[in-house]
Amino acid sequence: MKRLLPLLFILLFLTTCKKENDSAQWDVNILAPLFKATLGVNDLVPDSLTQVSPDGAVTLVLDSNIYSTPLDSVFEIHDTLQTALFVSPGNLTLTPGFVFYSQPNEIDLNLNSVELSESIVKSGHARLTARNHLATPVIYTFNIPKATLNGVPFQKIQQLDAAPPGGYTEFSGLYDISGYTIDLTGTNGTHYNHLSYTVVGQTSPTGVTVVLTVGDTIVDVTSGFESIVPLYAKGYLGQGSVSVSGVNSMGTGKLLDGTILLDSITAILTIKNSIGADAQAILSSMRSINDRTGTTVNLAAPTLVNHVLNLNRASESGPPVSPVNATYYSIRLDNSNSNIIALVENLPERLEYDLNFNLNPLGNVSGHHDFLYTDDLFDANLQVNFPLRFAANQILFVDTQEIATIDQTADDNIGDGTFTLIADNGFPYRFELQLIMLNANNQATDSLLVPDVINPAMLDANFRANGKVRTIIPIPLSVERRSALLSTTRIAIRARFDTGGYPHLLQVYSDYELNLKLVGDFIYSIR
Amino acid sequence: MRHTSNFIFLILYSVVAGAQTDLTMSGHFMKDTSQDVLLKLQGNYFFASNVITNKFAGDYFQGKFLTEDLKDNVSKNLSAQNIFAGEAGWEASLTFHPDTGNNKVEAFIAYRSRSHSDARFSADFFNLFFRGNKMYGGKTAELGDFFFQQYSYRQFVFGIGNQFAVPGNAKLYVGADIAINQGIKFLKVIGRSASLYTDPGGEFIDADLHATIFTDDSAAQHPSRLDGSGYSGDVYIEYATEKSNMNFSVENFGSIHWNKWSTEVSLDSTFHFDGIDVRDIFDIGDSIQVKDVGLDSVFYKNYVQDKSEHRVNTQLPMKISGSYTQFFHENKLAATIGIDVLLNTYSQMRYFAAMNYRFSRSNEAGIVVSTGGYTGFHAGIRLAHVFPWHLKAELGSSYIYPMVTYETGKSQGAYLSLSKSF
Repeated sequence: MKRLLPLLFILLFLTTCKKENDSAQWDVNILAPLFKATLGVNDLVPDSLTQVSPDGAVTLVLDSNIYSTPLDSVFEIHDTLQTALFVSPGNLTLTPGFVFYSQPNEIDLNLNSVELSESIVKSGHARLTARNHLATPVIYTFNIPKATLNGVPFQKIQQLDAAPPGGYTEFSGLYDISGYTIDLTGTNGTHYNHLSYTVVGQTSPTGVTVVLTVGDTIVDVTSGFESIVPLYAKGYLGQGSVSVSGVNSMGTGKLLDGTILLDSITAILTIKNSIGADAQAILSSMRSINDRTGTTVNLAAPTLVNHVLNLNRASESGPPVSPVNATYYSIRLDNSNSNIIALVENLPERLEYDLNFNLNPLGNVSGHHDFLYTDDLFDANLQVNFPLRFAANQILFVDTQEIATIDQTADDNIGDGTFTLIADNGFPYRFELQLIMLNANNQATDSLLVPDVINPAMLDANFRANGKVRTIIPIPLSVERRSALLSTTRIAIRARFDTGGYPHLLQVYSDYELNLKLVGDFIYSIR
Repeated sequence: MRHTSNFIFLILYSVVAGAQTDLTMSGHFMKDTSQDVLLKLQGNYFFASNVITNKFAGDYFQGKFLTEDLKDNVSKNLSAQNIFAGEAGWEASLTFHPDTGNNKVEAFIAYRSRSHSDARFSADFFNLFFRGNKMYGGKTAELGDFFFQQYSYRQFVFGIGNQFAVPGNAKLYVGADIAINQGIKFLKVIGRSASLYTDPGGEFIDADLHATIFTDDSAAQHPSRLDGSGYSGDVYIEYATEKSNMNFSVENFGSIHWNKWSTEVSLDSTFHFDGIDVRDIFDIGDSIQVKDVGLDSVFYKNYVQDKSEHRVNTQLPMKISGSYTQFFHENKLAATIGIDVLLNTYSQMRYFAAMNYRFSRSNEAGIVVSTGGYTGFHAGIRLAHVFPWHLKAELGSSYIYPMVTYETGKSQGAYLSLSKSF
């Protein structure tokens, strides 16, 4: 047995040896494609914004609403509240069911030269605030006889409890009048802009008789209308004038440098009149402003600028609410009648304009049969047809993007390596691309792809790109650099491109595309 | 010393040996008629290959980092087809004479636990697996004709033997036993043909995969949680004279039937991979989150289309061996030559020769040299000592030579046997 002890001791000692890891580890060299992307014309510009001719030439069609008239530029209905406070002139006895207050009210909406005979309320409400100082319950009735909804006049009844000795009870409420059609001709039907209603107060038939003395408050009521926005209005809309100084951002704020030459542009400005009243529109100025260069280019177009555009009145297709037959006025601008190219070549950050609308230049020719729907007044639409035939010189695009931080705790098996960006460029443009990693203070910490250039495709005799040209850009990526890249939360993109042979104009064809592929050549640790 | 440590370490971690491929000198039969009962606990392990070095295998199984030097030592051995195998097992047995009036009859019961794995693979497979695909830029890595099997199982063994008198003062020992097998785990991969082409610049990878994978019911759906069952048998024949001994045995002839929830997956796919398509390159915030791409699910959905569950039958590694021993010097010296083969594996015929010398009633030692099997030339030793009270320990290895040349040797193994007779 003594001889066994040393052996058992050795066995026990050796069984305490542990494996270094659960499984073996080793490095492998991986050479594999990782990501690929294809950038065609339709990736750069949505299909909906392009037109392709039979030969593949691409035209960019930008269609945007540059102006819509707000309702308050035609008229605005202000809040109207009236207060009635009556006290007892002597000793009065009020029996149950006694009507102690019946007051017709007629509010003039005070719309200046606008004279409305009818309106449909889009939103708004009637207000009733009543205090009962009587020692018996009272009933107030709010009537708008000429406001109907489905043929039923507006009426609201509210009962207030009896007032405590020396005090009062109060009701304050809002009544929604959306959808009501209101006759604005007043109680007698001979006015315009007049909104009539009554508030009637009586003691409750089930109450008690109260005796008032001099100075006792009988009526303490505030009533009226608030926040009324019409959906539809009819009458005479007046000879109001709307002056608009508008600004439209052109989305070029990320272009920091470079110049561009264009071949041709066709712009169609269309003004739509959905108001049942004649109007005139005058574009007094339009200018493109490039703050980066400090350059402003004014639109020169004699047929448009400071030219009176007569807009015929729209018509109703039926009783309210029915679709409106709007009228349109279009004017076309091109190289021959304007400097529209110069306007765009300025690479403006914003487009400013001064536009004026005048209603009913000939007065009340409709006999109070003007109308409007507040959701659809004047619209100005600009459609730009921009053949993608241009020359670009050192256009510099800069942007920053938030990117998702990739969780590196789960898998950090990728070691040092070189990632290779393979670009097969079918565009006749030369691209420079730089990705700059930013820290929390937006300071650059590292950059990729510097100073490599993606070379342009070769041109044939017709200045059309012929095939693709390959550019290979190696990106050394150490473990430390990769870790920094994966943990960065903001990245700046700095892209510069120009067309070959500037200022020669090159047409973009629909079959142009840029193929990008990222190939990894790296060490991967098997664990 | 380090090699010795590893040696013993692996003995312990394999929990001792079944001596299936180690060349033990102990016979199967309890020839000492003065004994009534023999209790034995034995175990072994071995790893053998014609390419993979002991250092590589040792570091792999110990979870160490596999250096380029380690891989180089394997790569220089690679040929068109390469094999390795590993096995570990242990056995507890009881041999006794069931009829005390006839000591020539013996009965045998045992419990065995065995694990076996072996594989055949191409040089490209090794390189691709351990070095990656970069070295195959512009070339095709041929991965076909790949085979791997791994299973572990338990055996409950019942046997009987008898000694027959043969004219000429010789004796014939015949024994047979049958084992009830309990399958625990099973994985078999048959690569019918496969290749992988890597573009010189890494722009694309073309893969052609045709393989079948069988695996056991890993979810243990059977009510008994028994993944497989089956039967196997052993036959031992020994012809002994005063001066010589001839042995023939067939061991582990049988199979395991894995239950109906076993899985067969067929891969028959050709695919071209040229990168994950980033649809919206300008939306970096979205497109960079490729970490969420379920590559596993994509792979499974696209390429694993033929998956079925059904019973699978596997033949166990069956060993056939034969040897002849001549005794000299008053039977103190024994010289043996023999041959064995492990069927249902990729092992080749193994030839061996051994010398054993009994120094005293308590001590004996031997050497063995052999070639073949899963590896090349190997040599080993055997030591046996009888302690008081008929307690016997036997320790040995057929792979001392490749284990001493640990960095370049390609096989290792050992066995340990403790027995007590009454």
